[in-house]
Order: sequence, then C-alpha cells, then structure tokens
Amino acid sequence: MLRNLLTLGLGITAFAAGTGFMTDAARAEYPERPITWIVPWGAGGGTDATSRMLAGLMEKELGVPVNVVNRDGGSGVVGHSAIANAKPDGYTIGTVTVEITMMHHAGLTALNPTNYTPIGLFNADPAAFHVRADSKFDTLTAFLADAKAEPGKMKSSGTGQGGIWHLAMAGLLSEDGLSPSTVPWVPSKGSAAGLQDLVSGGVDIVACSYPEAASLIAAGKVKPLAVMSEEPLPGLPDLPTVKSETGVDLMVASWRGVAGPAGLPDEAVAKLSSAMEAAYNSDEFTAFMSERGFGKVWLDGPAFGAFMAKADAANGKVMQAAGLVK
Amino acid sequence: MKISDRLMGCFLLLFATAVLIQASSFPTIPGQSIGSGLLPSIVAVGLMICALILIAKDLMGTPRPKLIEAGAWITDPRRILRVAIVLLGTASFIPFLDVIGFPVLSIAVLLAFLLALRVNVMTSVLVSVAASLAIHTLFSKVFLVPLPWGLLQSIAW
Amino acid sequence: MDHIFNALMMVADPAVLGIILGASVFGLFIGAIPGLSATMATALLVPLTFFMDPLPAIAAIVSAVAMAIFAGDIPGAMLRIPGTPASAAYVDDAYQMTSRGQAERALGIGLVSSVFGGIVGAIILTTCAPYLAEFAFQFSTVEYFWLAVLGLSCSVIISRGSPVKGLIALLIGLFISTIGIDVTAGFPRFTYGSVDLMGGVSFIPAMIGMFAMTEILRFAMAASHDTSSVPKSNSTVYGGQWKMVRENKGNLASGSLIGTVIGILPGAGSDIAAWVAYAVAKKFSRTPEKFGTGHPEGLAAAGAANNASLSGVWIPALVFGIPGDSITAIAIGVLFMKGITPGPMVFVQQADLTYAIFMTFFVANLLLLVLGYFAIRGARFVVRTPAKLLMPVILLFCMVGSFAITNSVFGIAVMLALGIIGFLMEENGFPIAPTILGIVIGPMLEDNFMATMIKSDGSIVGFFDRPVAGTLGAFTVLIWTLPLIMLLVRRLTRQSKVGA
Repeated sequence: MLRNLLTLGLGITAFAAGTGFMTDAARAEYPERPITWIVPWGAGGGTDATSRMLAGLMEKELGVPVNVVNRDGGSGVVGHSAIANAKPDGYTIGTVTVEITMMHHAGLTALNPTNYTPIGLFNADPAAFHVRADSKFDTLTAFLADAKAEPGKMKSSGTGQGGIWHLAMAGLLSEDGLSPSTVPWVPSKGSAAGLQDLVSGGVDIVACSYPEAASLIAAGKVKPLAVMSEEPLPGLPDLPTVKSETGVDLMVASWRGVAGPAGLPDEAVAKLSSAMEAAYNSDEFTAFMSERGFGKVWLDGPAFGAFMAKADAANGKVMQAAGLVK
Repeated sequence: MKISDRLMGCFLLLFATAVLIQASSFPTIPGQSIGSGLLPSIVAVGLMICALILIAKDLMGTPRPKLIEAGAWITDPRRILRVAIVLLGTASFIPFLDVIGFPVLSIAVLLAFLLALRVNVMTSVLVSVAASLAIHTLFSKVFLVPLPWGLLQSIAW
Repeated sequence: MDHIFNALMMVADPAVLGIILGASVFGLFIGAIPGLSATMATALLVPLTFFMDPLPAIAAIVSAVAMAIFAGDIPGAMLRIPGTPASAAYVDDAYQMTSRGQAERALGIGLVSSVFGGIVGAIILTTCAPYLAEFAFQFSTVEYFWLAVLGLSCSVIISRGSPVKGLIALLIGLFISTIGIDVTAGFPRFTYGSVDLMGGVSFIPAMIGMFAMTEILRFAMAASHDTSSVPKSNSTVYGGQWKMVRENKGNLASGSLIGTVIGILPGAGSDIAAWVAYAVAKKFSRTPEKFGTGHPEGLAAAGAANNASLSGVWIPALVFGIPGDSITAIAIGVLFMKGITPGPMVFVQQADLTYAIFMTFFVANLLLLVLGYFAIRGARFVVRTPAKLLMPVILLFCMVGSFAITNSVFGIAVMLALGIIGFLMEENGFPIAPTILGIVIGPMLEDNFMATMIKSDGSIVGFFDRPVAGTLGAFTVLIWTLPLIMLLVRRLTRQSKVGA
C-alpha cells in the first residue's frame, strides 16, 4: 500500500515538474491565464456592482477571464490586505476604495496607498447631507444653526464609526467651528441602515452620497440639503453645494479605483491600464454608471497615485480634527 | 470524549476570566460610559455564573462521573489514525493550500482518509483523483472560486 | 385587473418560462452543494442577466433563490450540513428523521411547507406590498434591538436538555460574534493582529464546522464503517403529506405569516424568521418535548417561514429600494441596470412588470413542487453510497465550501476550530443551535443597543418610548418573566386551596 502511495506521489510531482518546464520555455505574452479581481466589500454593494461591470468589460479587452472575488469584512481591511499581499505578477488585482487613505490613520493596519500599483480611478461620489422629507430644515445652514443652539440634541448617521461619511459630517462641523460632538454620530452598518434609521425617526441627518439616497428621495421619504462638491451634481442644478451654502470649503468623497500590489511588472500595468481605459470609455459602462447614479471620474495610473497621496493627507487632517486618529 | 461538568466548568471559568480582563481594556465610545467592552464583559460574566452552576451541580451529584473519559476510540490505533487524518488533513490546508495547490493536496488528504478507512487501493486512488478533480473544476470554472493551483500552476486550465 | 392579465401574459411567454426553468435547475444544484449559498447563485446569474429583458432577469433570480433555499435543506437532512442560518433552526429534526429512514418524508415536509410558505408570502407580496413597506419604516435601531432580544429568547425555547448548557452555548456564540472590528467603535476585538480575524467569523464556515465536521469526527471515531451513511429509506416524498398539511395547518399558517412579516425588516429579518417560527410552534405545541428529535411540527413551521421570508424581503426592496439582504441588493442592481428605479412609483409606472415579477414567485414555488421532488429522489443515491466512500468526499466539500465563503483558507480554519468546539460541546450535552443563533444575532443585538444608547444619551428610557419599541420590549420582558409569573400564580392558588 505504502509503495503504491509513493509511486503515485512521485508520478504527480514528476508530471507537475515536467509540464512546468515546458510552459516556462514557451512563455506567452501577459495575460495568459485568468485574472483574479478582489473586491474588498460584500456582494450587492456599490463597489461590488461597479467592479463586476468593469471587470466584465475588461475581460473582453484582455481576452482572458477576469474573476471577481469578494473579500469583505473588517471595514475593508481584509480585502485591501489581500490585494496588497498578493503576488505582484499581474494575475491578482482589485478595487481600492477611499478607506485605504483612512484605515491606517485609525490605527487598524499599516497599509497605505504606497502599498499598491495604481492602475486607474473610475468613480467618485461626493458626500451629501439628507434629512427626513417632513423635516423642518430646508437648508444645511438652518440645520447647523439649530445644532449650534442645542448641542448634542440632534444625531447623525450614515456609516460605521470612522467611515467616510462620518468624516464628512465631523469635517463639516469642525470646519464650521463646531465640535464634532455637537451632532453625535450614531454608527450604522452602512448608508442603507442609516437611511432606514433616518426615515423611522431615529436620527436627524444622514451623510451619504446622493445615489445611495436617490430611491428614497424619489419615494418622497428623504430630502437632500447640500452636496460636498465644487459644482452642483450633473442633472441636479437645484441642490446647492456645501461651499456655496455654508462657506465650508471641504470636499469629502468616496471613490473607487483599480490597483494591484506594489511592484507590478510594467508590461502588466500597461496592458491593464489600456484595457481599463477602453472599458471605462465604453458605452455600456457609461450607461450603467449614469443609470445607477454613480459619478464617472477618470484618472490614469500615475494621476490616481498622486490623487491617493493627496487624499491620504487630507483625510488624515480631517480625522485628526474629528478625533478619529489613534 | 466525555469531559466532566466540573472540568468543563473550570475551563469556562478560565476562558471567561481571560475575556473579562481583555474586555476591560477596550475603549469606550466618545461621550458614553460604555463601549466595545460591554458585550464581551456581559458574556464573560454570564459564562462565569453558568460555569459555577455547572461545577456546583456536578460536585453535588452522586456518583460523581470521571474527570475525563476519552472513549473507546483511544485504545484503537486505527481509529486514532483516522481522527488524526481528519484533523491534520484539514489543518494542512491552512498553511499549504497556496503553496501545494488544491489538486495535489486534496488528492493526498482524500487518499489517506480512504486508505485509513480500509477502502481498497484501486478504489481509493480512483475516488480521490476523480472527486478532487471534479470538485476543483466545478468550483473554479463554474462557481469562480479561486482555488489555488499551487505546484500545478503551469498546467492550469 | 388589467395589470394582472397583462402580467399573466408576460409570464406565460415560453422564453420567460424557459429561463425560469433553467434558473431553477441551476439554483437547486447550487443550493444542494454544502457551503454554496443562494447569494452565490444570484451573483453568478448577474452576468447572464445582462442579456435578458427585465422580467426574465428578475424571474431568473427569484426562481434560483427559491430553489437554492429549499435545496439547502437536502444536505441538511442527509448530512446535517444546513444550507442557510435559517435552516440551522430545524436541521436536527430533519437529520433525525433521516437516521430513522425517513429522509424522503423529512425533505417532503420541508418541500411542501416551503411551497406553502412561498405561496402565502407571494400572496401577501402581491396584495399589500406598499402598506407593509411602511411598516418597515417604523423600525429604528431600538426596534431592531428588541427584535434581536426576541430572537435570542427563541434559543432558550428551542434548546433541549440542560438550560444552563443551552445558555452557555448561546454565550459562546455571542462571544464568537464579537471577534473582529466593532462597527460602533471601529475597534478591533480579539484579533491579535490577524487581518483575517478583523473580518470576523462568518457563520457559513461556522455552521459547516459545528454541524458537518462534528459528524465526520464522530464517524472517524466509530468502530465499524461497513454500513451506508444512513439507514435504507422506507418513506416517499409525497406520501402522507396531505395528512401532514391538515395536521399542521396552524403551524404552516403561523410560520408563513411570521416569515413574511419578519422577512420584511431589512437586515437580519430572513435569518431569524425560521427560528422565531420554530420557537412559536414549540411553545404552542401539545408535544414540545418531541421537538429536535425528528418531529414534523417544527419542520413545517420553520420551513414555511424560511421561504415566506424570501417574499417578505422583496417588499422594502421594490417599494423603497432598500435591500433586506445581499440577494435583493444584487437584484436591485439588476433592476437599475434595466432602467427600473425601485420605489412606490413602480406600482404605477411599471405596474404590469411589477405584477409579472410577483407572478414569477407563484410560478417558481409551483415549479419547486415538481423539481424539488426530482432533487430529493436524486439525492437518494447519496444515501445509498457506502459511508466510507462518502464521508471523505464530504470532508472535501466542507473544506471547499468554507473556502468559497471567504475566498481564503481562513474559512477552513474557522470550520476546523468550530468543528472541534462543536464536537466537544455535543459529546458533553451542550446544544449547538444556540451557538449558531448567537453568532448570527450578536452583531444585530450589540450594534443596535449601542446606537440606541448614543441616541438616548445613555438613558434607558430610550428603549421604551416609541410605540413599536415599547410593545416589542414589553412582549420580550413578558416572555422571560411569564414562566416565573405562572409559577407564582400556581404557588398562590395552591396556598389558597390549602388555606381553605
């Protein structure tokens, strides 16, 4: 029995070694096998949906399957680590989200944007502030005035403690000269849970992106007050910007880009960037993004890298002011 | 494996104490007297109370059961081997799956388990190879689960 | 009425029916494999829906999910590997029936009650979706907190044997749920620097470990392996089911209603519906001691609740675009992609399509009656395979299934660790089901408690001062104190009798 086992083991090893040698000799151009795409958030969310769409379109450009894999949990730490720690051979890439510029400030991980090879940015959605449709507030200024008059009475929500929308809320308050505890943050599992709490009367204001609240706004349950962008959102000229409304010059946005682990070979980066740019510019992707209300923003690899470095510094500053740095 | 309630109670007591000590170092939420430590502390205190009841009940009962009883399998080398294969075989996936790859590792573990169950060699080889390759193909091709190829990366299809 | 007729015509299209059939077979297949979930079935369907019209796209998801959830009961009954956290509520009853040679009957009960619950849920969905969606908006964090406490109370009712051991099992589950990053404080607990632990322990590998791995370990320790894994079955899928339905009218009805209503609540609704239904059935049963030993009553109630909650979860999704679980989150994405914005307006602007989607719930559930039969029959060959060939292959499935949930070996580590814990627990008379419930409900309990405390500035009044919360809270307190009050009343009446 033992001998049989041994022979079998040896056989397999020999087979593996033999074939390995053969393909090494005839190495083809990148990519020659399926690419794994890690999404650091759960199935069904915005990051998952946009990544799957983009991956599907890039598959056509690259000519090999691009398999999307969800590695969620730990507020994004698990998936972001998986991308950064993957073998830098171009066969594992992933979606990198705004949290990469935040979680190391919060002391959750040592990972930061320099642990990645940026391939491109494809989306950014600015923070917006929403209240219940029957709320007495029609402007953000009115809300802030009331908050100042009765500190601690009104509550805010939109995501977990130290999440991007918490940053937007705390940043808005501290830039306006108020302490972040003027409107305490009630952590929720995400924007959907925060909005549910808003409508059911649990909290008074929710910070999240406009598309996340769009269906409740259309249903007449929620009204948006202002958005944290330089210009009003396309198609929504009546929704004022936070800057024009309150004078607070702070832009907090969630964004999504594609990156691989640091040290990706140049050949792979070049192929992936051009495939991603083509997918980004396709009619299908444009239609998908506008239907779902996601903001389309393009930056190529080097620009995306610079963008991340800038966002990292800016978010660190806001987190410091809001007392979220550990 | 029968562990008497008083021994189990002691284990739980130790575990709960460790949880309680750790939980006391967790931060509170800003502006609140409670925080991340609350639920673990409640759980730990609950476990302590339950463990004490368990120990007390066991000590009062007569006749007192043995402190620990492994069961009949511990005297049979063949059964020990099988338990070891199940535990170590599963555990071997954790460090080695990425390096060795799913096909080779799963054939090896499956083969070992089948042989330990006294399935004849021919059937064992057939079942382990067929099941491993079928499951690998099904999961990686149809369900897009990224099972690593490891050593066989170069012949990946 | 026009809408209903138009909807009927849309669904009757052979292409639509063909897609429903195809998706159903696919769903059955995925659900029957341990570790593969209905969410995975949905995610895999999405690329295919790109090429479909809106109705077949949603119909494919609806039918695949209904089939996958039922099919999850098959490995539950045959191998004691529950497919969903919901089916963990009744896996012991089904498995016990199988070991008595009644595999077909157990699965038949699951099938009939699933179809029953599914159809009741679909009727409720069709007739009162917009009104029920408003009900979901009564729920803020306080109400969710009470719902979680109610769910935990169920484990006390469900668990058999020593109450102290049941409570310990629950506390272990709650402890496991605290591992990972705490949403409320953004603080990693019990992670010791491990990135994988930061993500927490997901319940599918936990379930596979505690239920299936324990079986494999027990098998490895057994003396002889020459029998097939379960005794030869002498029951049939539909034999005696009519009688079962008549005897369990109440359980089926209450299970369906509980399933739909709890399923409506976004978040953990569909996960705990079956547990609540099972506990209610046990509470009102004349033979509560038989629950957990292979008794049809709990199986019927929980099976109905499980499938009914699937319809419930669509109500907030369609009416307000709020996803109740990851399946509806993906489905909402598909709707958007097809240019349909969920909201109250879909009942006006897209009435035909909306009713056609509801119609597919009926079609899928009726189809389940047929396809489910073949799936159960097909699963028979598993029962006939000699255990010594089957068990090693099951071990492999358990590992791959656990891997598939986290897409890393961490899932396998979780399965192994909880398998050993589960084995030691069962050997020493600790029930496993409360631990699973603790893992599922823990985060819901804690997050909502913390959020409520922050909102009420640390005052306990905040837990009772809203109408729904007050009612739920009073109800829960009553459940816990009722046995005590009863005891007291009995004492007092006895004393007064003695006194007279």
